[in-house]
Amino acid sequence: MPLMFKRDRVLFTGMVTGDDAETLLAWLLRHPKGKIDLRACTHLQPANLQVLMAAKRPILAMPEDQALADWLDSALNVGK
Amino acid sequence: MAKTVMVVDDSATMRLSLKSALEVNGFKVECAGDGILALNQLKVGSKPDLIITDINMPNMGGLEFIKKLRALPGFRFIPVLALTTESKQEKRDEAKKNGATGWLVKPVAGPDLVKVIKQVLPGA
Amino acid sequence: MNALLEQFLAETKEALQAIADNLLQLEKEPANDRLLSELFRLVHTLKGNSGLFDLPELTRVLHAGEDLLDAVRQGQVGYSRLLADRLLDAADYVGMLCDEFEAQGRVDSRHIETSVGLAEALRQLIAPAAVGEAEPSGPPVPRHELSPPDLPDLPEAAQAAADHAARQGLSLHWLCYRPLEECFFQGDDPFHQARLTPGLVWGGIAARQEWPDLAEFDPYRCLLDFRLLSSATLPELEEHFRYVSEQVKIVPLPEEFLRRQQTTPGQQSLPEELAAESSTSGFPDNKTGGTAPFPPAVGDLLAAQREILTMPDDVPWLPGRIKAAAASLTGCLIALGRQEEKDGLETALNAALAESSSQPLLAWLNRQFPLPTAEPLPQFARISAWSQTAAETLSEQSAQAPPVAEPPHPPGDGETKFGRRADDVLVGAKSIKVDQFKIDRLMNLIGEMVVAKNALPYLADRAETIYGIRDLSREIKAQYAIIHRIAGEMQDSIMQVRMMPISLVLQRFHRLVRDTSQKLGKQVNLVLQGEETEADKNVIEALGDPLVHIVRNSLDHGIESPDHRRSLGKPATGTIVIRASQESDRVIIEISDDGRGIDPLVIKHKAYEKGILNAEQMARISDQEAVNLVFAAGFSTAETVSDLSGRGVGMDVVRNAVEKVNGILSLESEKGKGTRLRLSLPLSMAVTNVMIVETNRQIFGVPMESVLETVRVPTESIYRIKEHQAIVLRGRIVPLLNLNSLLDMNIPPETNAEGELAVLLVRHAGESVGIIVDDFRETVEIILKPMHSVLTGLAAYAGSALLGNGSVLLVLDIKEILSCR
Repeated sequence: MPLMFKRDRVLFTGMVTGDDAETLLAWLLRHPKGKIDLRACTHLQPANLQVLMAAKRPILAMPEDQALADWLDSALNVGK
Repeated sequence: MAKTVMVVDDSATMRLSLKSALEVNGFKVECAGDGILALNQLKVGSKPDLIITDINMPNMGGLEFIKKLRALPGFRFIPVLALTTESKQEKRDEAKKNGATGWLVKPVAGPDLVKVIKQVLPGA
Repeated sequence: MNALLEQFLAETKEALQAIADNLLQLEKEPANDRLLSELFRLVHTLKGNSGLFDLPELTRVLHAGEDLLDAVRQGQVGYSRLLADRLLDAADYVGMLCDEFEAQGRVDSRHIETSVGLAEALRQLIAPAAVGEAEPSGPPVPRHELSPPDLPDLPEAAQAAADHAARQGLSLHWLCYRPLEECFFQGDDPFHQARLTPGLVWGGIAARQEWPDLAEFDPYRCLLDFRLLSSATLPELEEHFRYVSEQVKIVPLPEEFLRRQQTTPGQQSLPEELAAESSTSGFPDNKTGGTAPFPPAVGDLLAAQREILTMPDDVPWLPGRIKAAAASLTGCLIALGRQEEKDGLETALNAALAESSSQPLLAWLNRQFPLPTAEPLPQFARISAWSQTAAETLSEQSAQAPPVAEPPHPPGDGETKFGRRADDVLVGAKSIKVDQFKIDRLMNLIGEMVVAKNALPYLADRAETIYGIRDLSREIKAQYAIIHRIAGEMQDSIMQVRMMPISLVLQRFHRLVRDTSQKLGKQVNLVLQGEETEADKNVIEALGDPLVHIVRNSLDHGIESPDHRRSLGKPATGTIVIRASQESDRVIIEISDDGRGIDPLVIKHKAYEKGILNAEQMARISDQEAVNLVFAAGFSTAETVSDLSGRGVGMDVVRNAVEKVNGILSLESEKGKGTRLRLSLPLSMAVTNVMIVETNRQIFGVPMESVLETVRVPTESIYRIKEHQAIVLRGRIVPLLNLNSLLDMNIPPETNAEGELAVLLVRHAGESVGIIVDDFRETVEIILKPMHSVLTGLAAYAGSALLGNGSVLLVLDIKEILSCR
């Protein structure tokens, strides 16, 4: 499973697919305090990225994949 | 993990050609002879990562197949490559409009095939 | 020949037949859109497939055909007879090329001219305005020239990366990729596309608008913008984004823009920092392979060829292997843009073929592509194993019969079982193609099984009579009954596999009738009935030539010219009907026409002139008998020999061909009304019913088709006319022959206790002949095997068969015996 939901956080692992975005959105809606861990993520279909951008939740860890981290940095850290 | 590609074409020659080219490059391949057969395969549990489909086929052509495919749960976002011949830009646009991700120009050479698949299929 | 080529040739043949059928059908219904799209699809598929092989002549013609049909489909060109003619010519040509390719593994260059001519003839029919469109249009011109005001406001990180790249002398492009909002439902992953951008220097993602509240947010409406900086060239970038070209804007970053950026205060003073940043946060250059000598796929191919060429040369398919390797290497050269080296390759190929050794080619390969130091990829083993298998398959198949074209559907296999999941290329097909060799083998095995099974009753008898164990005998008989039933069903099933619809031979007649009648200036309508009737493959194949001959005869001599027909009060268009049907275990094919029929008087005179009849016979024979004289050897009714029903051969050829497969041919004709020919053929030739006869203490089989009846004749009722013998049977004189003397055994026949002779009445050349034997025995079903090796010269025998008790039965060829007397 590319998305693993813990009590207070969601862990992204490997390739996160388009269908996962719905699950992610639903979980975030049910967990207003839910945080994001992208450490093991290698790619995410951009619907997921949009969810992350819209949800503006705390990111606990950026991907270890540096190239991906750079991309996400530009998308998620705009407000900072 | 090896990615699975479904090849939909009414020509057995084309299926065989694509199947061998894909298998040599480490893909798993499923085949179907037209849109109806492909949809039926998908409905009973076939779960390819990418679909390559001919456009002009009997029973159910590629455009209708792609449209119906997009309505199936689990295949809304699957990359689909349409097999076309050269010089038909309007055909390509039509394929995209019906939900194709891109196109392959026949005859498809092995290296091109892999390059295109890598481009539209993350993780391939 | 590899599996792909084999598949291609088989599919092409099927498609060509379908194309011809469709064209002929279209001639009747020119407005039928369904036929037209089907036709287009067939040609389109063929053209697509032909591109898989190096067959430019084929592709050229098919391409022209496709363009022409496309124009017809779009309503730009009307369907015409000329159009059909040219397309049919093209289809014939393609078929011819395929045959040549199949037989010789290549296509002679002399065909180029024909190919160009045919393609031109097809293109001429496309309206001149449309011809231009037929040519593949070049890549679209770059669309997105941004005016300077549109130049982007580079984000800080991008500016830094751009400056750094510019200092390294790279020219840069700025890309704005705004995916369609619904792009996810086209299977697009714009993020993935952006990440793979060639020459990526910097990339960033931004939202197009403020995000709505999470509760009413649609994650699948794409509202992202991707901004990219790349050092790749414009063509490279256009190629990469070709699927989304209208969603991407590409602008070259002008020099002065960079200069402006570079002079921005605070930037220039930090070169080390910038360098450090770009090494950590910059993107790796995605142009992999840019430093490698050639793309990895070509490397794989080269290595595979090297592997193949180092395999031992002592295989019969070596020339094929060498040629295949050379073809692959040619492909590599083309892919690498090194066409100029093709001559050297060709020289090496010729040397390799001449020496029957892979060495010259291998040497060339090692010279042009020195062995890389990298370790071989794991695919190599697989590729070489594959080519090995392919080659073995080839050599195996060259020794075998061609594959069965289309086995019939097994009975009871009704609707396609949808949802079946299979990885095979044949998914969805209800039938499979099986090599005929395999079916023949099954056939032989079941034949042996039937024979072996027939030994059981003998065994049961022995158990009872010799060993006196009655119970055992009964049990053996019971077991026999079961095995007998199963063997019978098995035999039926295997025969079913060999059954093919008769439409396979009838299909070609549409074309034959169309072309021939056109040539003769006649109007003929062909009606086919009962095409779905099935018969054994051998029977179907044996039918082809006789039928062609019969139909040509009808066209040539039967159907009158339109004017003549009108003057007779007949419709101007003549009709030929071919009707197939099944009657018990025989297939009946009737070919009838409404032409001028056969005049018995003319036939009688002709026969007299040719010395087939003497004056007395001429006066005596009935009209029906006279009509049947057309089957006599050397008889031809045409006043002049035409090139159609051709070469001076007559209907006797047809009769011989039909009789060879145990068929019976009969003819009825009424002057002025038409002619009807009737062919009756066995459904299957696998099992033969024979009657066993005994003579001179030996047994022989006589095929039941030949046997009319068996009679016992008292010696005194035999008439002797000089050295000939005859009996009178139901008021007709029947000539008598002695089987012993026919077989060169000078022993008189034996009579039974009542002093009667056993006479087998057989049919020969349309009349009854009595053959005297010593005694009649039972009739049996046998699997007739042709005589082998030295015995093949014995024309008196149709073949041999094994009997249940293990003895061999020789089966007489009655026709041969009687005509040799």
